[in-house]
Parts: sequence; structure tokens; C-alpha cells
Amino acid sequence: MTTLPEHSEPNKVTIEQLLRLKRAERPSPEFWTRFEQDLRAKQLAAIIEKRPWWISLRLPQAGRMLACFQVPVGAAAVLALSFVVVREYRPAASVPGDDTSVEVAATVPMAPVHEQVARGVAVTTAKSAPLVVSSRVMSEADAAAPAASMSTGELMAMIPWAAPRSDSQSEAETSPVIGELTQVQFASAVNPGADHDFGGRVELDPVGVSAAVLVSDEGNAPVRVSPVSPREVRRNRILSTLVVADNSSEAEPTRMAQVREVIASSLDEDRLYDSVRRIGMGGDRLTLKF
Amino acid sequence: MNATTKTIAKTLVASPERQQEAGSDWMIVQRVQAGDVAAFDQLILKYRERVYAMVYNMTANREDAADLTQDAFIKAFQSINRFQGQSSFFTWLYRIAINSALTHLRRNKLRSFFSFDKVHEDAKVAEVINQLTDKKDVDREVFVNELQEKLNEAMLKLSIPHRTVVTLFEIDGLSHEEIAEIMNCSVGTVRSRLHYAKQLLQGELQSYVR
Repeated sequence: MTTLPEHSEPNKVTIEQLLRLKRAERPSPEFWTRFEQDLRAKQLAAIIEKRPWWISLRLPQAGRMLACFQVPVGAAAVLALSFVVVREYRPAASVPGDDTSVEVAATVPMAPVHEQVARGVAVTTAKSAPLVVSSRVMSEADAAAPAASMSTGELMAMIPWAAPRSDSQSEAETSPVIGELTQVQFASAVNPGADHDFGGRVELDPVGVSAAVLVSDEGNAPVRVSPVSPREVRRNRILSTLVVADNSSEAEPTRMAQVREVIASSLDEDRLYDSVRRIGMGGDRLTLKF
Repeated sequence: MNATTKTIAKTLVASPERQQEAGSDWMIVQRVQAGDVAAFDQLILKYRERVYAMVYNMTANREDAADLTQDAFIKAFQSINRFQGQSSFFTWLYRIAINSALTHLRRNKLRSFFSFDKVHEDAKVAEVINQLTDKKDVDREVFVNELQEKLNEAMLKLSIPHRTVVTLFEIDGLSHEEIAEIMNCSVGTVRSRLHYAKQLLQGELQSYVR
């Protein structure tokens, strides 16, 4: 009979054999009794527990069902989004030139309030370009006919601030900005009566990028209003329609102020950009971030 | 052969026994879905040891393993109506258990407590131990405990995917294809992970492994 030496190196096994030891690690039968009791308690609790409502929606299944519509729905969403974006930024993208007065006519007098206010309003360009008068801006008889019959020079002579001027002059005139169009339009929107018959004129800035409204009180010096961004024009347009509706029903002023506040905040362009950023395209998928 | 059976046959490429097992499981699942809640106990009894062993070998902690196994069965029970037999119940249950275990391991990355089950020495295990040591009685028991600890330490040094593959293949005895299906990866990935994990284990346990 052979015996192993006392300090001999033990035999080695393969890793698979060694892992067989782990397979042999098994709990005792008592463990399973306790396991079953705990599981039973948990199972009962799970049966009684009210499950959240969104689990019953079966969203993954709905997603699988809608998977075949991913491409057309995504394409439609992209088209709609691009349409909205182009529509929103078209006024801002206008280029100085012959079309500028048309742009102003299209943006400024949209609201009914401004049609009332704009009696006698003449649309012109500050450059020496031919005068283009919008029929929507001009009132019917008193302003349109003389303006149309006058030459550009005559008309400019009548309007001191519309005449061609030097750079320093224009700087001197534009720097003391008296009021913003927002305020003027807002005032006219709140009370669209005859008090706000400014006899104003809408003029394009010589640069041609933004529009300005020239307002003159009777007997006073002409009032120059700072350039207005399309965002403000859009905001005022919506505000004016709302306020007209509110005035007709004589709503209390606090409520009007609240509504105006809500609308003004919802028209914030940053929020629009933010919402656009939440929409992403990847491959044939449209992702929405919440 | 209906559509579900075809799906099971397609997914379980392992063995005819597995297919048969999947078929009988599907019958029980249908009973549970019809409202026979007690039928779920059969599934628990059938799979609890395998699921527990798998989770235990991944966590190296018997209490955590027990909790996670119970959670896996509860989740399976709660979602049984959504199980449509597109894979075998066994695969589905394993996926739930593995996901629970992975979530637990990720949450408790920095915390690891060992608590081992006793090694039940059958003939094959006794042979392996005899090859490693000639100690008897208490000394032998101490040696086995030490070996068990080293083995679990080495397992925990593996990354979670590698540990999962080793557990499923070497300890639970699943095929490469089944592991690939459970882990949602290719068979090649399973093979390479297994190879790499064994190499690492060999390095860690070189005093025992030839």
C-alpha cells in the first residue's frame, strides 16, 4: 500500500472539474420550506396590490402594432414640423428690396384693431426705391388715392423722417427711440377706439431687415418706434384679437391681464425652440423627449 | 403543430427533451392565464432550484439569491398574461431572473457579502476534492470551505456578462444556443465570453487548476 508523502504537492484538476463544486452548493430542505412561505406571502401581496394604470395600457404591444407605420408617420411629422418652422420664420427671413413693403403689409395690419388704427397709414420704403402702397393698410378713400397719385419725391418731402438722409442724421434720429411698437400696438389693442388713431406710417428700416412704425401725434413731433421683431408682431396679433373679444364682453381687467400674461408666456420663442429640440430623428424613427 | 409550438421548436434548438418540457410548460401557463392560479405552483416547484442556483452563483450570497428568486417568480406571475409562448417558459423565466440579478448586482456594486450554501458531496464532487487534497475529517472540511471561498472570489472578479455565461454553461448546464437566447446575443459571443472567462478563472485559481 502506497501513501502520499506528507508535504507533497496536491494534484491539480481542470477548471471544469472545479466548477463542479459550485454546482454542488445546494441549500438545505429547511431553506426551501422558508422560501416557499416567503414566496406565498409575496404572491398574495402581489395579487392584492393594485398595479399602476400604465401597465394595463400594454404600451410595448401597441408599439409593435404601430411599428409598420413608423416611416409614414415619421415622414408626416417631419413635413408638418418643417412647414411650421418655415411658416414661423418667413417674416424674419425677408430681404430688403421691392418685396419688403409687401412683407410689412402682410405682417403689421393683420389684426382688425390695426386696420382701424391704420387709417391713413402709408407704407413706404426708406430707401429711394419706388413707393409701394398696400391696399390693406391704406384706408379706402382718404389716403390711398393721394398717395398713389403722388410721386416718391413729393411724398418724401411731406414726410420729414422718410426723406433720404445721411448716416449721421439717421443715427441721430434712430437713437432716441421713444416707444416700442409693442406698447403702441398693445395700447391700441386694449382700447381700439378712436383715441389711437395715430395716423401712423409704416416704414421699413433702411437696412431692410426689420420693420418700424412711425407714429405722429397731431401737432407734435413725429414719434419713431423702434424696430419690431416678428415674434412681437405675432404676439401682438394674437393679443389684440383676444383683447378685442374681451372688450366686447366687458370682462374684468384682472382676468384680461391674466389671460394676456398666459398667452405672452406661451408665445415665448425660446419655448418653441425647446419644444423643437425635443423632437429627434434617427434612421427611420422619430423620437420625442418628455 | 400550432404556431406556438413551432416557435418553441425554432427557439429551443437544444434538445427534444427541452422541447417537450417547453410544451408541457406552455400547457400549464395557459391554465394560469385562464385563471387557475394554483397551477403556477407547479412551475415554481419545477424551476425554483435551477433559478435559485443560477442567481446564487451570480451573487454568491444565499439570502440575496433567495429574495431575487422569489422576485423573479412574482414578476413572472404578474406578467404571465403577457407571455405568448414565443419562447419557452423556462427561457422567459430565466431572462426575468437574470435581469433581476443584474439589476441587483449593479445597484450593489460596492457591497458584496459572501454567504455560501453547503457543498453536497456526491461521487463526482468527492473525487475532485480527493484529487486536490488527502486531508480527512475536519481538515478536509476546512479545505473545502477555503476552496469554496476562493472559487466564489474568482467568480466575482469576472465581469457580469462573463460570470453569467460561466454560470449558465458550466453550472446550470445550458447549451450555447440557449444561453445566446437568454442573454440576447450571438452564439459566437457566448463562446468567446466563455473562453475568456475560463482563462481568467484559470489565472485566479492556478494553485488548484492544472
